[in-house]
Amino acid sequence: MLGIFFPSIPVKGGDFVDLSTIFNFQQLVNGLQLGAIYALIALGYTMVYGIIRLINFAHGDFYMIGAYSIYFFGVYFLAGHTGIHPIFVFIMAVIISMAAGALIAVLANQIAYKPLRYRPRLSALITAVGVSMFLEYLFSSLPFIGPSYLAFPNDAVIPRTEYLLGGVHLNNYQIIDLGVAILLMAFLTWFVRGTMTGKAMRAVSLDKDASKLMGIDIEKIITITFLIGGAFAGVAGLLAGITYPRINPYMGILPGLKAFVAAVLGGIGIIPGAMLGAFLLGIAEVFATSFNSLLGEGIAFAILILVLIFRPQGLLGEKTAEKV
Amino acid sequence: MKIPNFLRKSTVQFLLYSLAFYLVIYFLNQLNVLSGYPLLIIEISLIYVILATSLNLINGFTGQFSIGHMGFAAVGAYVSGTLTTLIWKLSVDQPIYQTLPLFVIALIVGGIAAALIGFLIGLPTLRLRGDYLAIVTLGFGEIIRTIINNIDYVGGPRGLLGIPQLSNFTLISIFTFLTLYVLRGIVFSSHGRAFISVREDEVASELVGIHTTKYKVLAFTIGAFFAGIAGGLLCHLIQIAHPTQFGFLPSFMVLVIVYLGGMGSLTGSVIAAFLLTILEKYLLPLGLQMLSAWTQPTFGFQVGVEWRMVIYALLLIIMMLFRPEGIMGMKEARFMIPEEH
Amino acid sequence: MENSVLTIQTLTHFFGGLKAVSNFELDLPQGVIWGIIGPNGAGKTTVFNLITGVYRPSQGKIIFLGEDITNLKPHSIIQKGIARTFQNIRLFGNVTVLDNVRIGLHPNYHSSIWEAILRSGRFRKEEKRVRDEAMSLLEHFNLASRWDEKARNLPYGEQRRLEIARALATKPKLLLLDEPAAGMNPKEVDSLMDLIYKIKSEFNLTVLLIEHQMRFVMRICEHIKVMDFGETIAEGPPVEIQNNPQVIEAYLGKGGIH
Repeated sequence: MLGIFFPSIPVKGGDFVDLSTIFNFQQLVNGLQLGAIYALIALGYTMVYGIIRLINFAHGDFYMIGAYSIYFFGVYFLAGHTGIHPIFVFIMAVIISMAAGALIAVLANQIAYKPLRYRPRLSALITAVGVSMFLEYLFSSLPFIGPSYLAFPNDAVIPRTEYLLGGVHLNNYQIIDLGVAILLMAFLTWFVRGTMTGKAMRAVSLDKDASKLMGIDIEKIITITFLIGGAFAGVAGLLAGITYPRINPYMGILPGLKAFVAAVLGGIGIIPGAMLGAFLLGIAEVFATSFNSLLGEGIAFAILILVLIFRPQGLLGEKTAEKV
Repeated sequence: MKIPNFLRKSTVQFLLYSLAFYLVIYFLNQLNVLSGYPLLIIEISLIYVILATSLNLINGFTGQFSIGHMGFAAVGAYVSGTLTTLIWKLSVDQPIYQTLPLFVIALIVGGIAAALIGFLIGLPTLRLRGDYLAIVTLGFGEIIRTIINNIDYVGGPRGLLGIPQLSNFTLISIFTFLTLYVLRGIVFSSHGRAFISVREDEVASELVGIHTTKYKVLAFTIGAFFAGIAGGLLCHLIQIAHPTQFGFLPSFMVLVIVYLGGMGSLTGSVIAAFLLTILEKYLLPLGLQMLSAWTQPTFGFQVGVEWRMVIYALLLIIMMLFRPEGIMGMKEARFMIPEEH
Repeated sequence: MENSVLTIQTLTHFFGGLKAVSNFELDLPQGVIWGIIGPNGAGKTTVFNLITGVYRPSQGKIIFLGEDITNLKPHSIIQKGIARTFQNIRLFGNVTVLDNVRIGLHPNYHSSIWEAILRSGRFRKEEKRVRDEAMSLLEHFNLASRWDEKARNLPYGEQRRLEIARALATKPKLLLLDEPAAGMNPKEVDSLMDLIYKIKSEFNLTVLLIEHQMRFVMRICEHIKVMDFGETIAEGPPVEIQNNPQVIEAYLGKGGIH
């Protein structure tokens, strides 16, 4: 449909590439779907960065663990209990994946990040790398998991159905991915604006010391931030498992990195920024991939470089000067 | 007997200790006590000394966040490997007075190529804060690896094979010694103090008249040069250069070595390089094998070598929590510090 | 003015929408000790940051010894002869007392890295010169006995002295002191006054300082500028400033003096 607005362009070799094969509604939906998953991961990144200025390298691995939690749920529970209504199955899956992500996030914070809270930032960064590698290689080495791809039980969780809408192929996974993501983003926006805890989170990310003086329990707020961020990453793992049903312990590396780019694009530390950046990145990646697969892989990094050079504060960010 | 003043000088001591180390190993090798695999471990340890100390200059002394160091080694390896293997077609059968000069030239060209890349990667430091710089250096490391992966001339994903084994214990020892000598000279001078001031407080450093950007870029360039040399020495030892040798994981290992030894201590990097190489190549496989001998009959599975990564990650986390300054902190052995300092 | 060390014209600076400095003007003669005072947040440190190039002014010109330094990078400005200390001491904490000063001597150091690697004769001579000069500076500031200690282990008063020593190592003609007497008791403040007089005459300096301790400022400064909310609200010799109702109001607020 959008092909009306994009004429064909000549490409090297004399062929004409019909841009409507790239920029069309189908791809837009695919892009939004991808962006939805990135958004859920990016939100965790941006919240943690906003509150303790840490790029949590291990965040992508919380997403991985969310996916694996549903793998085990599918293999060890669903296989034996086949009569449950799919809605309930899905709800259980959401709860389990969020719980798994939240749990591992809170543990990581308690054990590895909290003790380094007042040490130089490089230490925390390196430790985050260590946590990330630990989780990836642990899962990879455990005999009942292993480093190779496992098949995600997406049929058991929610079987795929196709729809045709005005010449565009849609499936229920797209609706679920977008639906869950939008629901959770709406929840988060309400939480951060409407509740005391949410306001406390914003306060701590703006000025830790002043918040302390106002009587806010910093560590509790940080724990809650990790909890929410981890839960979102966990459910993103569930959605990714359903949509791209092959999982392995390293599946969190690339999405984690891209979600980080999305957060930077929108403005690191800014919640709406993560949402905006993620959807933009998802769409950009889908379009770039259909143009050239190598470009699709590199587009995230290219965007990162461009943002850091031309607008390091991100699309929604403000330039701040360091106090001397 | 009173020790003559001449021998008290730390530079002389440094020279003598290095010589002693070399001669001991050399003679043990001649007597067939030390050869084959154990000698290889020592040679690789020395190469890691070069990698760790060069990274230490960037991260430890200048306080930058560079986590893609093996990317520089990759450039050095591939450039020198291409020269010796594909262009000059050297081989160990040729007389040494032919191959040695060319090999050294190839190594240095590799180092210079790596230094150029280091310079380019240092430039973003103008604008980027620490954690962002880490991401960019990581990304560049991956980009270099991906580019190499796609160049069929140097073997692409199969790697550059058939590299002549022009590295030997003597040559590696000499280059390691030179690396330490040069880095020690730089660090213990006014320029070294300038690097350290950037680490301590970049704003204050700039406001005391230090051209902080120049020093940050310089750190990357010098660090990359030696990493390139190390890469060249390595691929001419194991006779292959392959993109997987230079990805994030190997960079992470060098980072662990630098942290373990102490950010800001050359001596620490030397010690940690040996410790970790021996651990990785000897103790860990042995230990895991012994552990498997127990777990196999008891639990029914083997403890494979993948567990070593879990152990390293755990080691790093524990170290960051309980002894972040590493083994040596910022201290140096006496003979490392030049006497005029 | 003819022998003006520092001339500032219509200096204005915004942080986003906030006007931190508004039309700041200065004509600083050689060899004087002048002061800038004002309540917290008045923009005093911002002026220092603008002079030393930490920020690029939104508007205005800064001329040092006849040269326009408005848009120069900090390290260039320092190398041209302006040195400063900080409100919150910014020493190189993990580095020894001696090395803090030696770092200050780096801008005047001429051996290249190659010479450092080769340990040439010229290099050794310069290293010795730097060491001797640094030690001599430390002696001046009564810190020589602590040369080997890490700067962060020094007591507060000595850290402040070290920061000034490091600033002097850069061989400045203009010294900017940001709240040098902060946290000092009256006895220490008197020592500081003597120290400033001493180094001013020995090193031929012009001094511009920011301070809150009124006794100190009124005694040491020949001329004072008062800032509030980015604006200059008064200027003149201490006697005038002390009795200026606007100044008193700025510090104590409307509603009378108590």
